[in-house]
Amino acid sequence: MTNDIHVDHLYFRYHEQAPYVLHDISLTVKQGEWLTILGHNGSGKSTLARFFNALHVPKEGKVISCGIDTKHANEWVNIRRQVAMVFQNPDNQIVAPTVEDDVAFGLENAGIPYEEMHERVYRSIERLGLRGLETQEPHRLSGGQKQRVALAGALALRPKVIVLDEATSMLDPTGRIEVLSMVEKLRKEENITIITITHDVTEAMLADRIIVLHEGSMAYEGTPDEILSDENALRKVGLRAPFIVQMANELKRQQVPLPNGVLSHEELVTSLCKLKPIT
Amino acid sequence: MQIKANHLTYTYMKNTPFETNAIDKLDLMIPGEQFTSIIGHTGSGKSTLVQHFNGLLKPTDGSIKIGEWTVKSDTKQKLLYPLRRHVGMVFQFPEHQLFHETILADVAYGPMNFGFSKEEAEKVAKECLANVGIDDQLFDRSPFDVSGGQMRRVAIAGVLALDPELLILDEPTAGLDPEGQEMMMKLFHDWYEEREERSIILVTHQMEDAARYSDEVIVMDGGNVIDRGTPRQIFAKKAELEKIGLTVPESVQLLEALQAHSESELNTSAFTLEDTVESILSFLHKKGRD
Repeated sequence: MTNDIHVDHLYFRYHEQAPYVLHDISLTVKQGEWLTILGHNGSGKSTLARFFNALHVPKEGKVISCGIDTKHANEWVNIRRQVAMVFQNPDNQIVAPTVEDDVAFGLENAGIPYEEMHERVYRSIERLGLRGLETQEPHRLSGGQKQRVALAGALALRPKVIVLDEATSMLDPTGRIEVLSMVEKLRKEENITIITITHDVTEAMLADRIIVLHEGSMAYEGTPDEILSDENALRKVGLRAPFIVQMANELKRQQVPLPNGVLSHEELVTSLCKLKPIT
Repeated sequence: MQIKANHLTYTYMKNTPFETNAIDKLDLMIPGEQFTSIIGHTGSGKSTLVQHFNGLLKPTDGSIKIGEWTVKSDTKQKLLYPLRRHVGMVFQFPEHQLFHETILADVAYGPMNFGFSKEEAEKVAKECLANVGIDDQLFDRSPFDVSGGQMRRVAIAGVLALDPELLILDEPTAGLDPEGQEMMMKLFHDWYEEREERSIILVTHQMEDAARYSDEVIVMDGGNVIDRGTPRQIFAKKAELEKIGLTVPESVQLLEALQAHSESELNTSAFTLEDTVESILSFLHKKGRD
């Protein structure tokens, strides 16, 4: 398998006297993988994400995106077409008066011929379940719909990687599920590599692999099972374990003999029902 | 401070083809001296409604009474001024409202605007900053020169510095990490508990917060109030809430799943970790007696 993103001993600070915001980061993201970068506010996770598509370029260390070293300024446009980003606030990234124009915006800039553009725009709209909303004003849509418009715009560019930087943190619970299930679908059916940046542990459960950032350094790396079941380790880096993990741990402290590694509602319910009654 | 909406209607883009009623002939009374949460899907009208509570929006039709102030479509802007002193409002990203050169000046700005001398205003500002956990070493720094979490606390100190009686919180923890959210909600709850006459109205998507802190929960959909009650009453209606795009707190989801799977009765209205654990323990004990 090829690697889509490769980061090698990356350090970053805003100017020479400033403290380091990122400290010795090395990681690879494989093609088709879902990686979550988890960290509290100010841990450096959004700053790191900006290196993936050359919005930041390393002075110390190296970032290779889709096989291209991001230090080459003449490749930036090319890199950004392959590594698309969706940001936190849907209202800040919508530019056009209608949904279809907004999805087409990136393609127009890329100089794609009209026929092809038309086909790509409608395919993306279809893929993201936005049929029927083509001529709507984006500002009148719900938060979840707006983020799907942003995702459709990204998909139309036919990227290899989509980076979601806190893209669900301003949505209500239904909007969040709506967007994440679309992301899952894009990964499965289009084989797009997904990188999500978040402090939401429930969202992190969907990943293949999690990297936890703390004060600009990589604190932990592992599968969701490994990372999310360790309540104390998460607390140390200013995060909270998922509710189910906290519950299972508290029940164990109360002498309820639960198995290790309970992460989901279903697992906890089944385990509890199997238990011998307390007399 | 009591709130009473009387046939309140608010129309966006009136007299255009896009005219829509965000609030539609709403009659509503919210008692004072309580912690009220308003929940509802995006676009249900909850933010539009609460912006009437301190006169940021005036009704298109009908009226709203907040304490002793009545606001109608033709109410003069000047009369809303004293109302805003008594009703504080914290928006989704309150740090966007910061503007002064120093943190202290930013927080003192409100009280000075309402007639306090510089000394008085700064005294109040210092107290409020201490209450939200901003160290006095930061007082002379620019509010744009501190962390995001600190900026938000400075902005909140600015709202509290006017000593409001009613505090309107419109998703005040959006974008904060879980630790920050917990601290922020505790800060508001402590403020509320401190004095008898204080009230809070919280607009939120976090069902956990609505369940944990509120005396009463109001449910909105399509510009109207469709249900209200204690957290216990409201969050016992999982199916109804899901129909309008809402959920119940995770603790309730877990206990309801356990109840369905085990086919036995258990207490499903637990909103804290402790109460949830207790409900599960008593379920396991009961299993022993059957």
